[in-house]
Amino acid sequence: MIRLALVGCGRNAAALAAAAAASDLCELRVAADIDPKAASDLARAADARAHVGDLESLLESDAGDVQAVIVNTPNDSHSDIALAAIAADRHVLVEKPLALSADAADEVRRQADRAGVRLMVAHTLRFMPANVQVHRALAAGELGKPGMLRSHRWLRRFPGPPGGWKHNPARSGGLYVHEAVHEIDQALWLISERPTHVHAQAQPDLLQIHLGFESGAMALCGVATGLPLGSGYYSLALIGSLGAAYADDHHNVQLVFRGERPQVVVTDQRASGVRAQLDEFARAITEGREPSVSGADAVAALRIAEAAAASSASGQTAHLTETGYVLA
Amino acid sequence: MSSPERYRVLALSAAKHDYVPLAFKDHPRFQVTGVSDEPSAAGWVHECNEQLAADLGVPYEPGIDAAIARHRPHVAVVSSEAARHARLSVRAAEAGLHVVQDKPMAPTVADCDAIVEAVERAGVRFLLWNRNTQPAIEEARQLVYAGEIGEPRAIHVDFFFSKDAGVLLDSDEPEEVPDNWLSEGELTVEGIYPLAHMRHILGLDALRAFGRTSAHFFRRHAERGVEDIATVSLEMERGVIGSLCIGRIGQPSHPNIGELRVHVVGSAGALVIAEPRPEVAVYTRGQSPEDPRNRRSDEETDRRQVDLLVNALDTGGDTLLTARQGRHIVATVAAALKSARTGRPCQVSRSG
Repeated sequence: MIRLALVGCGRNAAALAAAAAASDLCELRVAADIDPKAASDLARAADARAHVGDLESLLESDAGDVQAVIVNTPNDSHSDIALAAIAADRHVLVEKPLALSADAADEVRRQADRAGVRLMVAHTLRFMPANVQVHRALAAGELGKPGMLRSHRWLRRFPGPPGGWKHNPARSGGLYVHEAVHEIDQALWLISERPTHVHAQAQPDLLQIHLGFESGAMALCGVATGLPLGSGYYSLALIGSLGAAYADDHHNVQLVFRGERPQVVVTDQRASGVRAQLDEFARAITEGREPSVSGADAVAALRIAEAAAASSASGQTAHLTETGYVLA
Repeated sequence: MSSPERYRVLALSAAKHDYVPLAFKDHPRFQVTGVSDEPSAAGWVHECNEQLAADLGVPYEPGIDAAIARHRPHVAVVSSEAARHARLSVRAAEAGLHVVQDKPMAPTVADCDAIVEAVERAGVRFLLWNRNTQPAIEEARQLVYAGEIGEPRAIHVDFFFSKDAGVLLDSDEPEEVPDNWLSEGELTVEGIYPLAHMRHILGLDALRAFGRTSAHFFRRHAERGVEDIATVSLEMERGVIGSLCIGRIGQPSHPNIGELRVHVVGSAGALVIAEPRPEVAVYTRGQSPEDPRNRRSDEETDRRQVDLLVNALDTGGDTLLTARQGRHIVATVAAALKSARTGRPCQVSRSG
């Protein structure tokens, strides 16, 4: 069992703790936060030890008990906390984005390589049950060569006060860094190729990314984050040369009849994805191998997110180069 | 001038599809009186025309001017090869006929401009055939116009059709492409449908396009240098973000004849049309794997389009998809194709 510390007991922490509790491969030993209540509440719920303070003080006090750290803090602290964990020879699972810039993310990747610890980034879409099936069909050759990917993910408005870190692009990285890295990573994972073009459009709470690949494959991905509170929406179509796969979160739709129009209830599959992700992290540590979502993958997604942001701001298309992009 | 009790219809060529003229058959306000075409049309086109005339129970008379003089039609229904659309539609408009025309409107924006000019100069109505009368599309439009999802912010349409187009790209199988294979590219020919949906639901036009295209499936597309799949991003009026995915994706790729999916995001909500979710699915012993399982419960889409045309003709109002709107759709497709060639976003040209 891999012994974990969870740093950051805010949003997502309960899902991560539940995934650890359900796993046979890892266990949550410490719940750490600078907010005493957040740390103690989660520790109590997860039957773990609470630590109030930063990662350095945690690692000084744990006498080597913790083998790996999950970084679940606001985006602008991800890379610093990850670097601290790596410096202390701990494996690390970092919520996306790995950093607020591709260069900063690449520095984390380099340090992890140098230290010989496992670095994994939580590009959770790869672990969602429907996506796993699509990828499996593709990897088995059932769909042939991928030609077109279309995905949409609609989220409810960011919860929390207007002044919270998610509403502040300087702390979250903005929509491209905070959300679009999911779609970009998903496209790179499914098409298994580096894009040549990125064209993007954005509004304050919605964006669209259009990727072109050398093979002729193409991807159109949309993300909206401003919908009313309630269930989200997820939909994906992957068209291959021999077949196609369609995935969405409608297969578990339940209808509730209470008069007037039926109400739709979508069964949330996120929990099983988070559990699968955590198990992959634990297995990679145990087997001494690179996790299926590596630091290099996260850097690649961030580089394209930066190009997409530049495309959107300029109205031009970003043509990707070895080292960056050229707008035209 | 009062409206006639029944509008007389002359079908001008059925080279492409017969469903457009057949939608007028037995309609209480229309009477199809004949089928005509240019005598110089290809032999296989004359055969199609003869078959249509037999299906309608009317004569086939090559020679358009003579047919117009004899039948004195009010409406011409044009479903020739795309390359002849502009010539036939302009000719009909100049003869004072209202025009109902199959897609694509024309191969070039200049051809479309000629149609627009002829139609407007003659003061006749023009309908570009479309699928906007599908119940879900109509309901989406009503919801958007009623403000149910707030101000529209983005729209996306998936338009996939699964019918094969010959042998696959990497097949060694020999293929003889029939004379009547007219593909000019799937975005070029079929792009009208999703783009017309966008226009109908939001009432907005595209201003700029970024496109990617590929001949991903079928050898005949690759050999002719035309696309079988495409993705397009659109900058639309009022800052709305538009996009579409379109393609002939092959028979194994869908349980039905294809997929229509529409996403609209607004400032206060969103809506999804997911046509692949079957209203009716039928499974039987002995069913061929190639038989579609899903059946559309509404087969009146074409008929409703004709019903709406009656209103436009009676009142002199706009049709469901006018010549100018159709022209803008062709210009949008042209911008997307140019973008796909250059790798850069392109302006959609506006008509004068």
